[in-house]
Amino acid sequence: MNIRDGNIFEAMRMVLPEHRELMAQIQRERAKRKRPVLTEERLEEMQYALSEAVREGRAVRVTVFTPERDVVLVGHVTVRGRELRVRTAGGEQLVRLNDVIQIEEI
Amino acid sequence: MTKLIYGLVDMQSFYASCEVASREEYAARRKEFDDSTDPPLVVSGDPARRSGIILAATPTAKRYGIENAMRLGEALRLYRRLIVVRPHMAFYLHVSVRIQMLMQQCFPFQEQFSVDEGFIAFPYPSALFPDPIAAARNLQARIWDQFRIRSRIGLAPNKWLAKMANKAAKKTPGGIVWWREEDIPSVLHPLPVEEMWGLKRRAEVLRRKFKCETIGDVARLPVGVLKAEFGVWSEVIHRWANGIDVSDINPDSYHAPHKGFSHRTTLPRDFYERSEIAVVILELLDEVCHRLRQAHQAGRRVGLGLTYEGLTGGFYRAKTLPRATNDPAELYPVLLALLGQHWDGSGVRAVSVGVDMLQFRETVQLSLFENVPARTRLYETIDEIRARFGETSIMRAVSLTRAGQLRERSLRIGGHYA
Repeated sequence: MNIRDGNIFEAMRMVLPEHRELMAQIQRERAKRKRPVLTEERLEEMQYALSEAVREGRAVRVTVFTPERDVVLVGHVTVRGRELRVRTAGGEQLVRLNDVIQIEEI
Repeated sequence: MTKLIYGLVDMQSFYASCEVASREEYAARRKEFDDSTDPPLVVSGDPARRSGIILAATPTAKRYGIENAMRLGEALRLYRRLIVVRPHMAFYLHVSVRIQMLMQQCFPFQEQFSVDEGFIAFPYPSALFPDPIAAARNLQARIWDQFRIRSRIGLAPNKWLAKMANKAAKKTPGGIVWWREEDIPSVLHPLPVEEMWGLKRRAEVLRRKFKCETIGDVARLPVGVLKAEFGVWSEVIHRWANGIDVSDINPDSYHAPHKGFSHRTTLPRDFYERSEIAVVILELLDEVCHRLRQAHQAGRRVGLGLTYEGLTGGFYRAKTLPRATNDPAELYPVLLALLGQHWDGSGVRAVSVGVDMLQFRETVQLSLFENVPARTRLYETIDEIRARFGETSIMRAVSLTRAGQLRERSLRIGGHYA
């Protein structure tokens, strides 16, 4: 690097490899997708939509949080303990209720 | 016109402050603006040995004449009731990164400079930071509130002046100093030439050969006069003496790919045997190659550095290879050849091994004589075992000999206990 024109402090700094690694690691963790915190209202809406759907045997749209992306499932639902069973066109899916971030009527 | 103000933020006695701040018995007494409320504590490389050196000392310990890099035995003679603790490097690094994140919250333009220093920058004049001193004080107060560590902040029109202003801030009550461009003749130029940051031995030359007593004397020298002595540095020296620095601030500079990888270790005693030095070289090379593999890179130039007994003298020599590699089996003979050529037989106190001229490794060079894919799988397996079970779960047999440093090194970060 040319010391006259560049960021000379970048060339002269003293950073341990472990320090650099830790910075990167913490940055990666912070960049991770975080589960949204749902409001009371949103939870009530979801619960209402879910109970209506179960009672009337209608299909719903369920949005599920995963570390990579939100997954949207459409189908008939039943609740089993802490899990939600969604019968979609592509087959049956089990999702943890904790991962469900949205339930909407269609 | 709106320009950037640069700041250098440094932590006071960082390692020692981390130790004091994390021990509740001292918390009640400590006051932000009175550093004599800290206990007389030092962090010593190896508290069991009086020959270990002081890595950090609280301001209170320093008042007894204790200095960094002093032998522990000497420090204890100065003050018998000194509190001595061993280093906790992993903890300091964590605190460092958290403080760095706090700096970024206050000032999005931030660039870490060392474990306990970071540059910041913000526009001035601007509505966001109407009062630069208040903005700096806000950061300083937040560092104290969250970490109970005192910091000093130098503000100036560029990075180099910020570094110099930071030195002044250390001697200023409150610990914040703001130098403006028009202050340069009155605050920078009267300082002795040795105070110029970043010059190292060049400052002595300026005094001896060019008869410069102060930074102002350097500023008055025409750049042409410096040229013969300092080459490319002449312009940098000339600019700095005039309070000019062109370095910009790059918050993403840590994302830039490495230009090279190197490892260095200081030995517990002087090594005289070629076979013993070779063991250390191989261990360091393994670490360098491990990091190359993690980065999916290979290098074309490999270098060996030795520092001789008393940490004076030594060499660093590198050799460029016909093609890039990250295979220790290929690089080790080159290093041994460098050792054979350049080592004069002096006792060796520190060894460093580096690989640079890197390129990304998507293709594999096959060989007529070696089973390259098999060896690649071997290294992948070793890396996996180490990642899961620790650095010392699998090692070369030579690491178990008296010369081996790997087991001791694995307990350390930057040469000190993790």
